[in-house]
Amino acid sequence: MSTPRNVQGPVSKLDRADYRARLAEGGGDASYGRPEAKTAEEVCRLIDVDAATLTTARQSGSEEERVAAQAFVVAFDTVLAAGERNARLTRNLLLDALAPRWSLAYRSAQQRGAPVSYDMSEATLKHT
Amino acid sequence: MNFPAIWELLIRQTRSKRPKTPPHPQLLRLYTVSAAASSEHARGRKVWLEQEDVALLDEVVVTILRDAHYRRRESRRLLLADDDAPPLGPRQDVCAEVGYNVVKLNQPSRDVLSILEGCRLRFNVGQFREDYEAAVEFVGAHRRRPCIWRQRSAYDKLIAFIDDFRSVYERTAGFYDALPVYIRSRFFRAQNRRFHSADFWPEHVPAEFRERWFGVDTSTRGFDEPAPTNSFVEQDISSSQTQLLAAFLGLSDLEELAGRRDPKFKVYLTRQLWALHERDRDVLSDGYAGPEDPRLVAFVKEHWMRRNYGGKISQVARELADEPEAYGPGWRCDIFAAGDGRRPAGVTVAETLAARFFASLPPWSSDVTTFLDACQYIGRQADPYRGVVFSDPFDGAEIRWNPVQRATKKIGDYQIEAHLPGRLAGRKNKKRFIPLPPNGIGEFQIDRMELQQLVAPCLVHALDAYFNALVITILSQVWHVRDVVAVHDGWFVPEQIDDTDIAVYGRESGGDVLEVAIGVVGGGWLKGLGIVYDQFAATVAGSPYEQFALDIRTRWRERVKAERWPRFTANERLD
Repeated sequence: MSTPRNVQGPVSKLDRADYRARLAEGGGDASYGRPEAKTAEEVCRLIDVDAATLTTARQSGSEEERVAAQAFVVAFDTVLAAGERNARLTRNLLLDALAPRWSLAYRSAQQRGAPVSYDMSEATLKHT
Repeated sequence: MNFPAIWELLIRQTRSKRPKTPPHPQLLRLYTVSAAASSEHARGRKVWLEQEDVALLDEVVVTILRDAHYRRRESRRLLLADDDAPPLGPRQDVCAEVGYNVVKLNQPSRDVLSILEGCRLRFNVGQFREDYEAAVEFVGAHRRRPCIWRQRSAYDKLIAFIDDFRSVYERTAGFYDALPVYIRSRFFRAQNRRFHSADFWPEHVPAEFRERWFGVDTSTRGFDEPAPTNSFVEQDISSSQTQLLAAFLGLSDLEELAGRRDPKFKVYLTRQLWALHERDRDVLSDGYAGPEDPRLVAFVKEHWMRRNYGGKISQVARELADEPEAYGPGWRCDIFAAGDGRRPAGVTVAETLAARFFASLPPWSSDVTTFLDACQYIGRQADPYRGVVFSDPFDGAEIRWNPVQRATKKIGDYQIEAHLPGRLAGRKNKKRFIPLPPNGIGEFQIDRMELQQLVAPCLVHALDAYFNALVITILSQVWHVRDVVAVHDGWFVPEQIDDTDIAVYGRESGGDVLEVAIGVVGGGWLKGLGIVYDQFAATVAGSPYEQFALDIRTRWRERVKAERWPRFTANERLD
């Protein structure tokens, strides 16, 4: 999930810092409906998932691992929900679970009335 | 975060004996996935929850549920009476972040929504949880989807039941049974103008559970002290779509037939079909016991109802053939047979037989057919961007149906799918996405096929929503009923209505009040339909349907002039 830009490719540290700052303006984990860090840590411990393997090469460090662990909890819960309701697990389903919690572009599209990724514009999905 | 890494980790737990990537050992104890290929959608995965380590799964789920910050997906939100909830936004469909099928409302609609939102229901949490746990227990004991069609359908309903009410179940964990729980809901009007609840409400609950889960304590406005515990009475209009459509088309014979309690309209239709079958001997497959066979009654009812909802007979017949226990052997043909040079396809034979049946009915049947054809014509001839436009007879707001022509495009490296304005072209399995640009004001091209199918059902639903709105309004304004639940063409009101105004009308039973309300709004409803006739006639002007439109308007004018108001027949219970 990269910063909204007009070019594709790796995100610079500066861009990322700027994006994080804007994301933080929206509130903390609670206001985005993300699981708490301690929940994420506990779930990863129980399932034996190393959050460091879920970060990109350019995104290392404890902060990145915390976010990756939180994202894993959301993703795993999405799998469980799909299993319980006999729904298919798709990339769209995963994106629709993660992006409202971490992507400003996605949230902005939701505020414009698009509830899920299927209804969003190509530009928004590229920026998400 | 690394989206591809998370995705790859999730789908590694494959059921394949030779997986490309080794599964994660702990996740493999909790679930597996198998590929679910489709020509139209990205390869999704079916998820199989495994029983290998239930204790671990429980521990993980409890850890997640205990997190107060984390908002799980809620299929059906439980709104307690004193909960805050943001007002609902404008109702619309969205394509590429542009709204279409936008639902516009004027003040009378907002007033009805406000009445519906004023209702407070007593929610019997203990009973709900008991029923929910029984369903979960059953599915837990029968984890494999049955092979037999009928069992499969019941099983799927149970899965949907569990999914629908899971968030309500989770929300009510720890509620103390002895304390009453009151709930409310937000409401909206859909594109077909029907009123719907947005939160957990009787509308979303199977009929057999409504009485078990819901009740009402207070019955009227203005009483500070709650009245004794009260239950609901329910009434719905029998064969409502047919009664309303018959009144709209000025078909008095059909209106009278559809309003009969004995025989019910579906039984009448079944007898007609059986008579045709007895005469020609080539209409129905062998296996029905006679005109009273409940499978045949259900078969006929589905055909009549779904045809009037814009359904294609070929599709209806095929779907019913999948459930022979419920609908019997069906038309005299092999519905799944493909056609060749010598013999027509099974669905074609079914369509021919169904058409023969409809043509064998009294003259009103051809008027209904003409109406359905005219609606298809309206969809076919609609402006390519503007779609079909009518006015709501209740609040005068513009009704616009403009479903966008959409197709799936895969976006970016992650192959996320978007349903963008466009169409697919090219050979099977090698289809390309062709975008359809918007017009000068940013509106997208409509999907004529979809529009053709939706004009008739949406128009008929708009008529029943109008009737519904009048009933709700009169219950509130005349009888001061605060707690009214409306389910399209059916209503629940408290069994006892205690209002000082009741003395004026000499009524105190909720059932009586409801019966009178349903009876008296027929005149207002019919008088208010003028705008629909005018617009219907204008839309088909110059077409083969013009005279038909003028004829039904003339019949309406004569009826209004003669003050022959419809009195729709109501049943005491919703089905």
